Amino acid sequence: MAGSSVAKDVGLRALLPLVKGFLFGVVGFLAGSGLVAGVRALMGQDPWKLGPLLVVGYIFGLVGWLLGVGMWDYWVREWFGLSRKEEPSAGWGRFFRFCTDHKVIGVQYLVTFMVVLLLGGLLAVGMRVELMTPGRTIMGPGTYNTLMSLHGILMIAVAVAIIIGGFANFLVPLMIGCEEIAFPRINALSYWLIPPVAVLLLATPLMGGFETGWTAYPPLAVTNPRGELLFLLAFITFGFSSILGGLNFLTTIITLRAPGMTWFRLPIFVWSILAAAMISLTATQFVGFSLLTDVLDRVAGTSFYNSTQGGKPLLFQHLFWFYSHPAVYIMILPAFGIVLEVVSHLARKPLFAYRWVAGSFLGIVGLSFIVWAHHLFTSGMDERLHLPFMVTTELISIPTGMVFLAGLGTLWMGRLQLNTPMLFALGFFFNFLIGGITGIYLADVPTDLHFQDSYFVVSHFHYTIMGGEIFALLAATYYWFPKITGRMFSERLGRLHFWWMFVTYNLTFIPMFWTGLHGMPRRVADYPATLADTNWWVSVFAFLLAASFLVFVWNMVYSWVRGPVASANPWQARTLEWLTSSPPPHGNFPREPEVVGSPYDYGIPGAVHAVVGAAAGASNGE
Amino acid sequence: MEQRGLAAALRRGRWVFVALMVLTVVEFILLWLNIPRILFRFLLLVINGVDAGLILYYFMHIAQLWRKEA
Amino acid sequence: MAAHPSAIGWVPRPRLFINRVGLWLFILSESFLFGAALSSRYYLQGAERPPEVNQLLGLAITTVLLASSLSAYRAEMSAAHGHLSGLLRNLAATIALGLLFLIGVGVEWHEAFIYFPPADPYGTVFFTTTGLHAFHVLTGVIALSIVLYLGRDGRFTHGNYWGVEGAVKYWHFVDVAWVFIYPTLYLVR
Repeated sequence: MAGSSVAKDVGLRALLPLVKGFLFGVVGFLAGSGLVAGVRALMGQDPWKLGPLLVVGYIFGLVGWLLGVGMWDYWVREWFGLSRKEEPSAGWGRFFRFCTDHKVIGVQYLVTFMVVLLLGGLLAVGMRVELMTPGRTIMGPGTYNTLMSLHGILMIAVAVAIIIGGFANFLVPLMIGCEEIAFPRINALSYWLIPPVAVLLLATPLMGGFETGWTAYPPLAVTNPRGELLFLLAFITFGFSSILGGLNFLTTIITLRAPGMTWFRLPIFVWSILAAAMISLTATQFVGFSLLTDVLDRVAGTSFYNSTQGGKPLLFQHLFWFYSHPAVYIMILPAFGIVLEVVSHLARKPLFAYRWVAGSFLGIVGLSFIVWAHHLFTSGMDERLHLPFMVTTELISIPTGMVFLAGLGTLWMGRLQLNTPMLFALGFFFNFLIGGITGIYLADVPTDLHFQDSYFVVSHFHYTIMGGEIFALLAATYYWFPKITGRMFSERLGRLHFWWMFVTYNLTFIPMFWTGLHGMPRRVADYPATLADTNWWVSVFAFLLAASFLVFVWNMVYSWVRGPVASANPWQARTLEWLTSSPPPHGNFPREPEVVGSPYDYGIPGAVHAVVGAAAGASNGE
Repeated sequence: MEQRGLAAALRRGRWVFVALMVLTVVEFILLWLNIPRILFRFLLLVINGVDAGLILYYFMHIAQLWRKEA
Repeated sequence: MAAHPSAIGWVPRPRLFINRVGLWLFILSESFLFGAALSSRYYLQGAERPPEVNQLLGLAITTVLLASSLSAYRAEMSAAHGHLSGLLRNLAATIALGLLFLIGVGVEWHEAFIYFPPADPYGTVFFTTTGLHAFHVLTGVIALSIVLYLGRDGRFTHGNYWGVEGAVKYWHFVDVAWVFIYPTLYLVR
């Protein structure tokens, strides 16, 4: 991989950009907060008011961090007429610096968010310890609320970013046959916005924590301790990163498809990323604005949500859910793409109803913008809005159902290879069916009035996001592991992980529907004593569920270092990423690929998806 | 390159600016006339839609996205 | 972005088209941000507006911003036709008009603090929306200044003027946003 002629980082010097970023960040923070203190002193106000110092200091610190970690060297120097530095194109140091290679960024995202996923899981274990018995078990309600809120926002961040940031970054340019993403530097920027988010979120407990959950509803968000402010700033930064990512994927898919890669020859995963990127490009601005209004109410003395001054707290819920409902489709659409991809290649069958699926994805995007107020059925919203939002919400089950049926149609009469990625994809279908059906009760106003804010809701969205997206994520991790690392994982441990996780997962979350129906409120550290037995068992299974990830981590880490070397195409799959070496070289393909057919024509004699270079003669026909 | 093309482009820009200014002044005058609220709001919507359309089409060349350039 | 050294045999990508698509998508995204700000105004306030809003100043800063859009357009057209001095002159004019607009907003804020401070319901919307917009104007002024600085030796006039085009498009977008903010904050009743 590393040639002797390419620039390369050696030894610990490779970590220098991180140190530099940190120092620049600190300097930026001091400069920003100093500026505010100075301006406020000049205007005759108390210069040491902490809110404005933190906000402006953070903005300057963020810019400093980005400049230090590499934006200055590889980008901003250009704006001052200076020459840009040459980027190292090999060596492990690339993973710890501002690097514009989409495959490096993909791995950066994947590893970072896998760590965050495990961290969020540990927080959930903490919550389940507290919930083992009614009343106080090990922590007070304030601590529990902070724990719950942190678990929420960390997992939301994972769910939004891990597939788009990780797998889409790594795979979309490969799958559409181009050498790099449309805006590589913006791509690197969106990754390097993430570490400050993590630092801020982990610092919230030091500043009094925050108790609003990840939804940051005012007026609590305005009156909560200062940890809330850090959380708001972190979330806004994360949203910015998500917007830039969406912009990059849309531009890449629109403009950089290889010759012959027409819209209906795109692998379905690329379609799902296209659809998800549409949402994250546009709707995310609304959550950014809603959180900004929270910040302004806290720091600048505006009264968006101060009802004594004429503010309306309900405005926040509209702005917030205008993003945050579509956001669940940012999470689940790529998951759909992954399972359909895995199912088609591993069942050796053409993807059933391909065009209908692509259309359904776009239909989901369109509908996702007009359903948000179903989160407000019990919030005191005008009752005339109940019916229209109930109808639009239930309409969305039509395209979703079509995607589901396309998956089943692909499995039907297929020659299934029941290996680890396939098992996780099948697990997805099972879990998502439960998640989808229970969602209907929450979309229906009459039932939702009773289920709102109970554990029924908790179980429902964990079935769609954890049982759905995370199972798809794991399917993708196993399926593309050989492509990304160039090594093979242990199939035996992979299956062990699947069965262990699948069983404990269902044993954890099925009883939660029951506790929800019997009145267990979500986001509260306590519950009626009659539910004690069930909760004790739920906690035990939750611990076992968490333990299943030890198998996963061991399998991944050990196989990455010691696993057997993988071939270029271990699954005999037909999409373009398998036509290059594992891991792919810098620049992805030896020659520009030319696409001549559908990626899913299994069983059709002589069908070819793509040819890479006439001279090389490599193709993926059967 | 040819100066005539530039002169024509600059002339077009001036006309667009004049149109934008006229529309803005019309808005401003409408504010002081006592016309019904609904009509006023409707007119504002139309005028600003035209404003935005002019800028998008003539100043931002939105047609570049789907029209091949000569 | 140049192609990677290891990538041989790639058909050259239409870089200009890629940049344009990216910028238009960014503009689409930003219009949602202003959409959120404007819809909040109607949700919180309906079409209410205090009588102290300075109508003449509003008209004046609108005129300044529209004029800056004209000079930005002239700058881009000059670059497209290889007219360096026209490019530099018009860029400088655009930056000056942008700064004049910011001064106008500053004066407006100074008055607004007296009649409808941020804690006031109208003040909340007024300061947030104009502040958001002024921040975009400021970033636009910075972008145009960078283009002016880089373009002084004529690098943008040889059929390769994406730097000018990008900054100018962004500037026009800031103008389009104001076209909707102006009636929302000053005119509607």
